[in-house]
Amino acid sequence: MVGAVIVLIIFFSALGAPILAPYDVNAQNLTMSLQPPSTSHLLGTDVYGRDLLSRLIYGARVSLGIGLSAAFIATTVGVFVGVFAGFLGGWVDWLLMRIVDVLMGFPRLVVMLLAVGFGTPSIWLTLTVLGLLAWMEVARIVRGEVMVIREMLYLKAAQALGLKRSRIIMGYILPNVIGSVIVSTTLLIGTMILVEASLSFLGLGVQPPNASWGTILNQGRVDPVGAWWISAFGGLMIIITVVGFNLLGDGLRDLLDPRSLT
Amino acid sequence: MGHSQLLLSVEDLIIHYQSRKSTLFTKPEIVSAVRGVTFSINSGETLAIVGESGCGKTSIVMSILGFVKPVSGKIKYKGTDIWDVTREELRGIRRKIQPVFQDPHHSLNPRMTVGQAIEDGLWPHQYEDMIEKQNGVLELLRAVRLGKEHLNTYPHQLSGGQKQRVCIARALAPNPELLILDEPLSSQDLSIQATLVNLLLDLKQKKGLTYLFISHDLRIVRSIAQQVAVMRDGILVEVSDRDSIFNNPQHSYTESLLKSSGLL
Repeated sequence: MVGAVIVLIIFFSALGAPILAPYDVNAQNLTMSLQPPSTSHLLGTDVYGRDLLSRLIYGARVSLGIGLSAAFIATTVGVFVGVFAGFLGGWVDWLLMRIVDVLMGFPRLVVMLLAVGFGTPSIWLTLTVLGLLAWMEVARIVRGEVMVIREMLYLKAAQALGLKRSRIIMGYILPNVIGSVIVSTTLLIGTMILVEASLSFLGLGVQPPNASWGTILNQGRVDPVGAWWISAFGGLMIIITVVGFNLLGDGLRDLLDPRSLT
Repeated sequence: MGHSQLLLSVEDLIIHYQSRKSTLFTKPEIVSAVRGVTFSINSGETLAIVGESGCGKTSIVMSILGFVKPVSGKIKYKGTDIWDVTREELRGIRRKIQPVFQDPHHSLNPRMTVGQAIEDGLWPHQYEDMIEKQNGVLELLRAVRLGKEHLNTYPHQLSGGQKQRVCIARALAPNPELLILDEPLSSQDLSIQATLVNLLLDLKQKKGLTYLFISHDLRIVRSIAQQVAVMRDGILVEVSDRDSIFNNPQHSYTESLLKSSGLL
C-alpha cells in the first residue's frame, strides 16, 4: 500500500523532527535570505534566511497534528449524530439531518473568519472550528449504514432477545459501521490538512513564526517566481500528504470490505 | 389436546404496508399483506403456516415479534396483548418468543463470535460468574450439536447448516416457550434439512417447546406439525390438524398445493 508508506514516512519525519531537521527551525540568518536550493540548504531558504527543509519537517508536526485532531473531533461528533439519527429515526432523524443540511451550506472559510474575528487565531481555535465544521459528512455516512443495519436480521434477532438499546448500539451497530468510519476519517484527515493550509495561507490559522505548511506557502508569496522553491516544495508536501491519506483511505476501504472477510 | 394451555392467539389480524408516503399531491399507496387472520397455538403444539412466498406469512411473524404494527386485530401471548404493553413488558415477552429466520447468513452479527452471540441471549444476572456463563453457552452449543471448538469462530467461518444451528442455540438462550421458525430449512441442502428437522423435534421434546413453523415445503410440514394453516393472499383458507389437511383437504387451494408437491 503506497498510501500507508507515504503516510508513515511523513508521520515519522514529523515525529523525529528535532533529529531530522538540519537547522534550527526558527533560526533567522538574514545574510542567507532567499537562497535557492544548494548543498548547505537542500531546499533553499525563506525571506528570513530560515532553512526551508527544516521548516517543512517541523511544519509537518503542526499540519498533521491539526489534520488528525480535527478529523478526530469531526469523526466523534459525526458518529454520535449518525448513530442517533439512524437508530432512533422519526423526528430525531429529521431534525438532525436538517441541522446537517444547514451546516453543510456554511462556507467554512467565512465561519473561520468570524471565529477568528471573535477570538484570537491559534492552533486550538483552528482545529476546533475545523472539526466542528466537518462532521456532517461522517454523520451522513454513519446514518446511512445504521439504517441498513437496522433492517438486518441479526438486529431483529438482537431485539427479539430483549437487549437494551445501549447493548444493541455498542455490540451490533458500532462494530459494523467502524469500517466505513475509519475510511471516511482517513479521507477527512487529507481534507483537514488542505483546509488548514488554506486558512494559514490567509493568515487565519497557525500564526507565524510557527511553521505550518500553510504559513510556509504564505511566505512563498514574497517572490513566487524568483523564490519558486518556497511555494513549490511547500505545495508539494501538501499534495504528497493529501494524496497519501487518500490512497490510504481507498486501500482501507478495500481491506475492510466485509466481502474480503470471507 | 383439550387440556393444554393456550399460548398464542392471533385474532383477526390485519397488516398493511405503505409503499409510498402520502404527500400533498399523492395518496399513500397501501398494500394489504394480511387481511384478517385468526389462529391459536396451544402450549407444546406445533402449528405450521404454509403458503407461497408473498402470501403474508412473514408479515405475521414480524407482527408477532413486535416489529410490524398491525392495522387492527390482536396478538395475545398468554392472554396479554403484545401491542398493548410498555416497552419494558414487551422486552420480557419478547424473550419468551424467539425467532429463527430463513437466512442464517444475515441472522448473525458478522463481528461477533459464536460464543458472544449466544451469550447475549442469556440474562446478565442469570449466572453467578463468567465460568458459569461460559458453561451455559457450551450447554446450548451442545444442545444444537456443536462443540467447544465453535465457541470462538466467526459466522463467516461456518457453513450454512452450522450457522442455522447457532441461530437456534441463540434462540434457546433466553429459555423461550415459543419458537417462531420462519422457513428455517429452505436455505439448506436436503441432507442438512433432515438433520435439522430431527434436531428441532428432539429439542421440542426435551425442552417442552411450542413451535410456529412457517414453510412452503409440505413434506417437512408433514413431518413436524400437528396443526396446519394454509395461507393464500393474506388469508387462511384452511386450518386443521395435520391428518385432515393431508388426507382430506377441504379447500381447492390446499389440494393444489398437495398435488404440486406430489403428496396427493
